[in-house]
Parts: sequence; C-alpha cells; structure tokens
Amino acid sequence: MKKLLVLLYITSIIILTGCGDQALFDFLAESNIKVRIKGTYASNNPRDWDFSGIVADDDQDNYAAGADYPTKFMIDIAELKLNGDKFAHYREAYQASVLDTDDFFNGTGFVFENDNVFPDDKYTKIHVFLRKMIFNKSLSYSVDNDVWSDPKTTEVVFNEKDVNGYDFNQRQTFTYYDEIDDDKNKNIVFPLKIPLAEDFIYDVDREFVLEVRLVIKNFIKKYEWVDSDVGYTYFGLSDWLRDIRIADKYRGGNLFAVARVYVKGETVSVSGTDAVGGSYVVAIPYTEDGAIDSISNYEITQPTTSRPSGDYDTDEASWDAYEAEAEASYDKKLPPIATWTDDNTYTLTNVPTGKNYSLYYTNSVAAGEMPSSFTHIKNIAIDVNGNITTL
Amino acid sequence: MNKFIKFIILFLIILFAVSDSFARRRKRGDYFLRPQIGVWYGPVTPVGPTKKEVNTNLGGGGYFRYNTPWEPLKLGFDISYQHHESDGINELFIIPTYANLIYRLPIQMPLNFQIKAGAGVAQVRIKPSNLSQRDPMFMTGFEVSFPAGKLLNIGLRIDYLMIYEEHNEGAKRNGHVVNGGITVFFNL
Repeated sequence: MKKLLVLLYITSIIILTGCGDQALFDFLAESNIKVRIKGTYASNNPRDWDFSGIVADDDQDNYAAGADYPTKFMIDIAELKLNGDKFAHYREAYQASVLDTDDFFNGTGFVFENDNVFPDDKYTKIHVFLRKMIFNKSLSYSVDNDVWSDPKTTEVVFNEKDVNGYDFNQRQTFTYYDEIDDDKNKNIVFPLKIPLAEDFIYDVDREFVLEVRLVIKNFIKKYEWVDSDVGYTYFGLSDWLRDIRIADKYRGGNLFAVARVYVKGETVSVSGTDAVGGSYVVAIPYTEDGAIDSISNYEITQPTTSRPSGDYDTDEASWDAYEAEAEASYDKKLPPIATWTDDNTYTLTNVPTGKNYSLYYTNSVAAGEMPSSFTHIKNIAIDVNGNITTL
Repeated sequence: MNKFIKFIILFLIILFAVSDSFARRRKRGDYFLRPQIGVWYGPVTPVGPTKKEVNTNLGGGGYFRYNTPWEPLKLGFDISYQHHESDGINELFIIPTYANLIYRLPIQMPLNFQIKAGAGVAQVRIKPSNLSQRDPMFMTGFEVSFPAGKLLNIGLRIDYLMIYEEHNEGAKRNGHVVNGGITVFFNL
C-alpha cells in the first residue's frame, strides 16, 4: 500500500511539472488575423457617393428612365483562401446600405470570420469565392418584338431569403471575350484571385489585419439585358475597362480588387497638404529590394481602341488586340494605400512603419472611372518608431 | 518531447516492478481481479466549444490496470492518441496519459460494469500555428465488458476528457473530447 502511494506521488510530480502556460484551445478558436472586406478604392476616408455618376450604359435603350439609384447592396462570399489554404471557410452574406455611413462603404469594412494560417509560409495571393453580388432597384420586363412592357421588381435569393434585386455576379463570371473565343473555362469571380500587395508571413505573436478592397463604390452603372423574351434593367459595375453592349450575356472583367496585410500597432498616419482637390492620394511602397516601384505598374488605362463592332470570326485581330490591352490593364496593381481628398489636404491611415513610400495624387476621376495617371508628390521614409522623413 | 519519452519509460519500469505485489491479492476464481492490460479503438469526438473547431476521427490507446487493497477499486494507467482535423486547416493532436480509479459496480451479471474517474496530463498540439504543450487533464468514464474465457475480456467504453487550460492567464476555454470504442483486455 505504501509502495503504491509513493508511486502515485512520484508519478504526479513528474506529470504536473512542465505544463504549458499558453491557451492552445483559444488559439484554435480565435485568430490573430482580422480580415476586413471593403467596397472602396480608398483604404480610408473614401470619396462620398456621387449618385449623379450612376449613369445608364451608353448602349442602353433607356427603358427605365428616371434617377433611380440602388439603396441596398448584398454580397455573398463562400470562403477565402490564402495560397490555397482554407483559412476562412465560413460563408458570409453581408447586406450594406448604399450610403456613406455603411461600414462596407466608409473605409471600415466588415469583418470576415477566419482561422490562423501556417507560420513561416510566404503567402502571396488571396482567393475570394464570390457567390453573389446584388443591387436592388432592378426591374424585369416582358419583351415582345423589341417592345418592353410590364415592369416588375425582380427578386433573387440571398442568404436563403427572397430579396428585391438582381445578382449581377452571374453576369461577370466570364468576360465577353472569353465567351466569343470559346474559352469559358476560367471563372474569374469564383474565385476572384487577388495578389497581396506584399508577401505575408504569419507570426503567432503578432496581430495582423488583412484588408481586401473590391472597387464598388462610385463604380456603378445601369445596364439592360434581354434573355429571350424577358428584359432586365439592373445595376452592376462600370464598364470603363471592358465595354459592355446590350446583347452581351457575360460582362465580366471589370471587378478591380486589391489586398494588403499590415501588423496592428506597427502603423502610422501620414498627412499632408500638398495634393490637389478632387483626386485620390496614394502611397506606393518601395519593392522588396529597396527600389522605388514604377508608377507605370499602377497606371490602369482604358484600351486605346474602342471595342470591335464585328463578331470574333470576322474581326479576330481587332478583338485580340482589344482584349490584350484590357487584360494588361486589368493585371496592373491597385495602390495598397489610398484616400480621397476634396481639397489639398489628406491623411493616409494604417501605413506600415519600417518602409519607404512614394506618394502620388491621381488625375481627376469621375464616378464610374478608375484613376489612370499619377502625379508625384514626394518620397517618404517611415522608421520602425513611426518617424516620417521626406526623402 | 525527449523529456516526455523518458518519463514514459520510467513510468513503465516502475509499473512492471510493482505489478507483481498486487497480482497476489486476487480472490480465488475471480479472474477479473487480476492485473489487466488492454487496448481500445473507436471514435474520438470533440464536444462543447471544441466541437466548433475540429471534427470527429478515430483514435485508440492502451492501458494497464491492477488492484488496490480496496477490492472493487482498481487503479489504471492509460495512454492514447487522437488526431482531429477540420473542414479548414485547423488540426488538433492529443496524447492523454492519466491515472484513474476504476470501480466495478456490484451488479451480479455476466457483464462487468465499471465507472472510472481520473486525472493526468495531455500533450496537446495544434495546427496551423504549430504550438504544443502539456496541459493537466481530468476524465470520467464508463465501461461494460464481458469475459471470453479466463484470459480475455471484450467491452465497450466511453470516456469524457477535459483538458484544463483555463488556469492559464488569459485563457478562455478548455478542451473537451469524448472517446469511445471497443476494448479488448487480458487478465494477466
């Protein structure tokens, strides 16, 4: 008996020394990466909604007249993946009001649930699996011999409920060029592939913010489409880059996006008064080897030729040239840090420390357009303590 | 990990050194009161808050039991291994090692019913963060078995394990798993 007690005593001492002090089950349940999804070009203080900029597409027969703007935007995201790792396999269906105060449109973003990722792996891209993107105030018509009649509010299923609206994401799964070139095997929204502005290496001891921005605010147009004898008017993304015509079934390739990661607590705000009103002010980080990243990597321009009028068989060379220019522009980078300025003053927030940046302001941009030319303001260096010096 | 292996070896040496003294105490004819060694295999399920993070899998382990001077009570030592995956990239590995007291219920049937309670330490590792540590753990369980001859017993067991982390600063949750399965053990 005594031998038994001694044995138990020794065993428990051996067992109970050396227990850890971390909270592993908390680590499994929570994450020190916060994912924010924003619907703006700017990372902070985006431009206010310019509803007069929501125009009807130039190819429209204008069946829906009047200043009718959407009031609700809904987005259904199946999951997010970083370099193929299923770190955020939690479906999110988010409804935003089309107002400057909504988190999705005011520079805050909504939080997407996620897990941690592998430390010491270098993550370079994020895949966003977009199921639906819906604006309300869409109508359907009966179309008979080109006569549109009987307008009705369209309904679509969102988050397992019927809502008023039109899911324009189904129209942007492929580009029109992919459809006519019979290359409809690359779905460009499921997933939407966004390269990270800089490589991301996760660290268990630091808190990160992963910011994903889809350019939706002030980039909307009103479209028409006919599906045999049913006509639709709906709001979708601007065709500033790839021109859309009324008969196009697929209208993709106009969804611009950018993603960046920064460490919480290792950022500063950069302010200035040397911009020009009515433009975006952007901060371009220097590249990994310390060189200034060329601004031409960010100059997204419209194709120099207008969209060919013929079909692919008769006009193959023109179509190839048009698509090549559009694709080159689409593959360019968006500035990871940007803000809007109405006058010459600006403040860029959450700018990571320990890096150098080139600051630019863009050309004057109307709603429905992307900034395409940049004017250099200055270069700055931010040390690890957050001190900013002009270079 | 090295420290842990050394501990296991030390533990097994002590175990076999003392097993003989308890073997002598059995009642004549009751083979169940012999020292017993067994294995188990079956579903290991996260429950409670742990259920949200990882999924059920199959796991298994082994154990050794011998008598205490208080006859219906036996003292057991268990070790097992379980690996839980998830729908994402989360993974959980647990190696529980514990001692427990096992009480055979005084029900006169060909079946043996046992309830158990115990404590020990669990080696826990999580992915993708690749963090691992030892945590104290507590368990309780139930087992039903029947003898198949003098030597062999076959049974079903179900255990609830609580891996205690809330004593750590800032920790908000513990780990909870239910291990079940078929067990086969031998009267030595």
